[in-house]
Amino acid sequence: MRHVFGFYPTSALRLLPMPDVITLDQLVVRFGRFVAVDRLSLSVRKGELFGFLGPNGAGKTTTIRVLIGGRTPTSGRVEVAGLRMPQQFDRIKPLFGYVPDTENHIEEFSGRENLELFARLYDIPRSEVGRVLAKLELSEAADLPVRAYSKGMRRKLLIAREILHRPRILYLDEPTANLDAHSTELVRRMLRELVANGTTVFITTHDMQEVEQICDRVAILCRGRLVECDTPTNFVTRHAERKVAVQYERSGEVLREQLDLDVEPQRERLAHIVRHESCVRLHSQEFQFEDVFLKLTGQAYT
Amino acid sequence: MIPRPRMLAILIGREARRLRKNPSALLLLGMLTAIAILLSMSRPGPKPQMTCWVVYEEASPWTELLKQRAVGNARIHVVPMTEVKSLSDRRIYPPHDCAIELVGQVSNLPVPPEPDSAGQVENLPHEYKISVRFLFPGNDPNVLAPFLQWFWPATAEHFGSTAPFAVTTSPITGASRAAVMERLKQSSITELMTEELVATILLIIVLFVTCCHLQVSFTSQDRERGTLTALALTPASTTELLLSRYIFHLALGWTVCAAIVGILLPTAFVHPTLWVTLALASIGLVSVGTVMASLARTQSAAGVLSLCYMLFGGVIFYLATKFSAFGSIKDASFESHSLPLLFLSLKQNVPLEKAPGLANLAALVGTWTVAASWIFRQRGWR
Repeated sequence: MRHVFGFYPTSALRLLPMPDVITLDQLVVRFGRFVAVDRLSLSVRKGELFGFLGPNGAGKTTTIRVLIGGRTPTSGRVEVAGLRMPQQFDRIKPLFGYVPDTENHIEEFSGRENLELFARLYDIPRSEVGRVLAKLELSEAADLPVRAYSKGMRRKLLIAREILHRPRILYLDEPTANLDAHSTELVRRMLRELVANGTTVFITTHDMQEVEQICDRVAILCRGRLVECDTPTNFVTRHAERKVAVQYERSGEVLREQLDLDVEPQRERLAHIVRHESCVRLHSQEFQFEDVFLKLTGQAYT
Repeated sequence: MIPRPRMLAILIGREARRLRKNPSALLLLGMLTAIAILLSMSRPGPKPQMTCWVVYEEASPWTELLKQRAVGNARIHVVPMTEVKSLSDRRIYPPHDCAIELVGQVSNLPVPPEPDSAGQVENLPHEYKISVRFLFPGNDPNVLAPFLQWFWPATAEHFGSTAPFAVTTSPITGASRAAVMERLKQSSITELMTEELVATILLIIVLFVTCCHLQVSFTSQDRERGTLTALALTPASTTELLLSRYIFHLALGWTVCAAIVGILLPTAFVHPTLWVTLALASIGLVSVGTVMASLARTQSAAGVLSLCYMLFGGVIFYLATKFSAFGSIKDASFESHSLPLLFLSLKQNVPLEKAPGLANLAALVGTWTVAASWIFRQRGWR
């Protein structure tokens, strides 16, 4: 599937209401006195590419660790595929794949040996290993020890390992970190393919362009609390600020001003400049998702 | 969940492949086996011949005759009691030697006297004055036979057919603990380093390396890298993860131990107590390793913890010999039970009174294993 104008087409099927695959209800995780996740409630639908964003220390990785059974929640309800965590963890385990933010390969083994071990544990034919390696363009380096891999190759091998068993849910913690432009594009395309095939993808990232390009819905977390959850388009539409940058000349000197068109005095000021000053340049500023993110997380901190 | 053999086989295979790619661990195990081979090659010749010490309380024509009949036999020393070191009324003889102690004065009894099945001559007539004590090392009184072939004819030659004897025969090991310790102090280190002791030390080192150190090293490395979490998130259960580690490390430890016993003391190979003790001690050490690896956050911290455990054990053992208060702490460690049992098993001489020690060892190992299993499930794989 190719992206059009930098955006991937959304499957028409996904516009229909789908059942929730992940449900967090009033989730609280504490480390002693520190509250890492504070009454977080959200749900992720089946076949959705869900972006989970937040500044450093917002509680994203802690939430993922709760979802994969790596940490027991202090309170709250967590359901994955209709099963309760952590009570039914053994039944949930085979349903998901988890790409952590740090590589956890068996360093002594080659890339192929790493994947073969996991294939055997999942009872998957060996041929799948070759297919996944080829998909992530790792076939040539498959027989090299992992310790000889570059950071990007390690990252791709990690993703290959976790999609090997065709999970229903895929958790990815910053999957495109350390990847070059080509590999980033490869991974994004692969994620969209997975989603098109019905896999639910839960992703954390700091790349806002990535969020805009591939995510169906996004939740922004700050200080452990949910700030807002919506589609990237809705985020931009609702939080867009209409700003205009204007340059004008007065007594041989070029002056600059940035004006917010949603504020009445500033609108009048713009009209005054256009009427009475010698305008050199006038242009509207495009509002990006990154601006929304900064605005919302900034508000959360203030 | 019941462990699945297929999962166990995959996980054990992974551990084995990992060991194969870990040359330092293989080198260490190879060195320990090489030490056993070198020791077996430099095995000392036959032990020096046993000497018999005939000591008397009072000189008499009988003792003079014994001296005369012993002339030319370098293995018999007829000496007064005062010439032999003693402690608490017990004479201290060199290790591996036997003794005939003549206490009291002459009277009339049949020569040789007829002891009952317990080696005692009972219903002594009132004329009895002399007590003859036969002392021998180890458990076999037959080692005295060559000396009795000399002693009784010489005695009969002096007394005729009757002599005033009370005869007792007992092993020297029946002497008081203090006397034994005193004898040990007088022995040189080379005399003490028997093959059984060397084999015990080697087995303990092998068990510590394979079952404790490697378990700590591998598991904490997996934890630090996050590999353990990755494996735990596959269909393999935490029980299977833990069990595969136990099986792998135990099999490795037992293989190297079997090689060392086979090289150094092949006769002890079939002694069942040896294998029961080895099995319990190794399970205990893997459990200790699991607890340490589950508690430490990094591989280096786990390594330091493992070293501290070894040093702490050594210090407690030493303090227990000096202060009785540390005795109970020592008894709470399974090493204090497994070490003597291993040594005695290698000597193929485990007395029945050591059975409670085996039971204590099993109880302590069981406790460690339950603790290791609980802590690994709670936090060991995360």
